Amino acid sequence: MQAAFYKVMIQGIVNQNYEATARLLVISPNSQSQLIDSVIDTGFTGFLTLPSSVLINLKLKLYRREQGTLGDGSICIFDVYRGMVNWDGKVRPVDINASETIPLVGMSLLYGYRIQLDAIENGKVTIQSLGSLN
Amino acid sequence: MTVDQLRYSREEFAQRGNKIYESLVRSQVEAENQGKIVAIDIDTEQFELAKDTITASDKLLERFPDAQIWCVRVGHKGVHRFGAGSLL
Repeated sequence: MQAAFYKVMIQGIVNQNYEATARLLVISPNSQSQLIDSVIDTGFTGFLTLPSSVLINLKLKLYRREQGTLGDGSICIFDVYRGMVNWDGKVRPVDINASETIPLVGMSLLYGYRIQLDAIENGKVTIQSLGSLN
Repeated sequence: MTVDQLRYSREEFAQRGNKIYESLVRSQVEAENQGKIVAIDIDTEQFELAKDTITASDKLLERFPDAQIWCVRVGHKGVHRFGAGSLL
């Protein structure tokens, strides 16, 4: 008899600007949390960006800095915060680059997952652990 | 995660961090660690090497709980790349 196997996945939607979006629960060390609508950006190699309003609201801690390379090749110094996200049913630590734009989910958070999306308004976005596909 | 606050400006972080990387760290790591992450404490000039920023930073904080951390990706100007237009 086979055991029932429940495949967890993250679901999102392609918005009216043709951006693949996903809703994330971001959690602070003192257990505050906030739902964040993010855009999946495969051109961003980090974990997550959040604007200062969210970083302040969640009282996340600024703990280091780094240089990043922008799309035009220029270099920018980033403040990096530490937080946690509920990702695929598990709480995991993430480094968060402060950036005053729509929150971005990058390839470091997506590492080990398969993304599928229907590139049309209201298209379905699914993110599944590669481990769950075997 | 015990660092209470960062004590240097962005510019000081970049200046001190990159100087320590160029003078002390680069020659020890560059040959065999392209693409890996170095986390440097710009106070003690100690560092940790790992495949990602979280692991490298946490290893450094275990040794120096008040570390003032500057991260560098070996062989690259930036730790992360932000795709064209994503910050506009």
